Amino acid sequence: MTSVRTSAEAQGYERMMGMVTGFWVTQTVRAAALYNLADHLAAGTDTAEAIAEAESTDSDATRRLLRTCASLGLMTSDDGHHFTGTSLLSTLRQDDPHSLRHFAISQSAPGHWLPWGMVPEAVRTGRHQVTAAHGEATIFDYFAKHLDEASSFTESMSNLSRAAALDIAAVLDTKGVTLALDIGGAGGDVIRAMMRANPELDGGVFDLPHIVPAAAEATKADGLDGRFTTIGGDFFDSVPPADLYVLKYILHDWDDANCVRILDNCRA
Amino acid sequence: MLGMTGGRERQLAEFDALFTASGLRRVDVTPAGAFAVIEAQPTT
Repeated sequence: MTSVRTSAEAQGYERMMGMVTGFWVTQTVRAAALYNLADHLAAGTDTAEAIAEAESTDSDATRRLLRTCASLGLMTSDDGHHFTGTSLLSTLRQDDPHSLRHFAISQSAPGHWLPWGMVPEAVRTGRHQVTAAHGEATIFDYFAKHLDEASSFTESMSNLSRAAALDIAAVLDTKGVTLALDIGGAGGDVIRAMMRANPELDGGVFDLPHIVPAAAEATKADGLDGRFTTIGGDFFDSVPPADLYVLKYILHDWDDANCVRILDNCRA
Repeated sequence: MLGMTGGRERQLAEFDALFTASGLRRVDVTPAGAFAVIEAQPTT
């Protein structure tokens, strides 16, 4: 039997190759983010050797990483030794308020990475795989014991929230609201955007006790601390009184019964 | 959500079911950038 591939078939194989090896890309981007390649190349062209020196990484392996990054469009190189960052790479820069650096790092770190390796099992059983992968009831229990990953995850959510926060603040009418609480608000980006949009509004973040200090710090930095509170607690036990509750990126994390507990505590 | 948290993405009718079960009712949905703000109030 002859088997000559049509162009459509060839495209299918190429696309599927891309899907199957998607995790190669994920971990390459993780390495690019961890070793701050976007920041090293922000000022201009640099060599693999210089970056390896600055990051204490293997020089040859770093050059191969940069070459791989070039093949992904993150940088360009004429000679395989000198590399220049592209606008795609700059989405990982640390000094960009919407930076995807922490998202790249936290999504590919063991907390998320290992359960994602068990998606077929999740489909078979209908259950999340954090317990099988980490021996913890939820990913948030895992974070409570892995504070570096927790802080990276919080920062990544803040980066993603900042743009969305402006959109939300623009459409939410907070006239007549005395106190608004960001439930599970982590860094508090949404509530802080609402407070900047309405100078009369008092606001706060209610989140787990090991999470809220970051929100307090961030609020001091932007000068809202006079009308901002942070409260540590668990939204499954109770939620402090307020006129308006904001829950962003919260309910999708929980099954229906747990969502009803959270919403019921907000209503009470 | 399936593999990481046991949560789920929901359609509006599924949010409404959560609100009803929590003594809330949906009063507004406003597009906000890539997302939407869903507002609910206590029924009593």
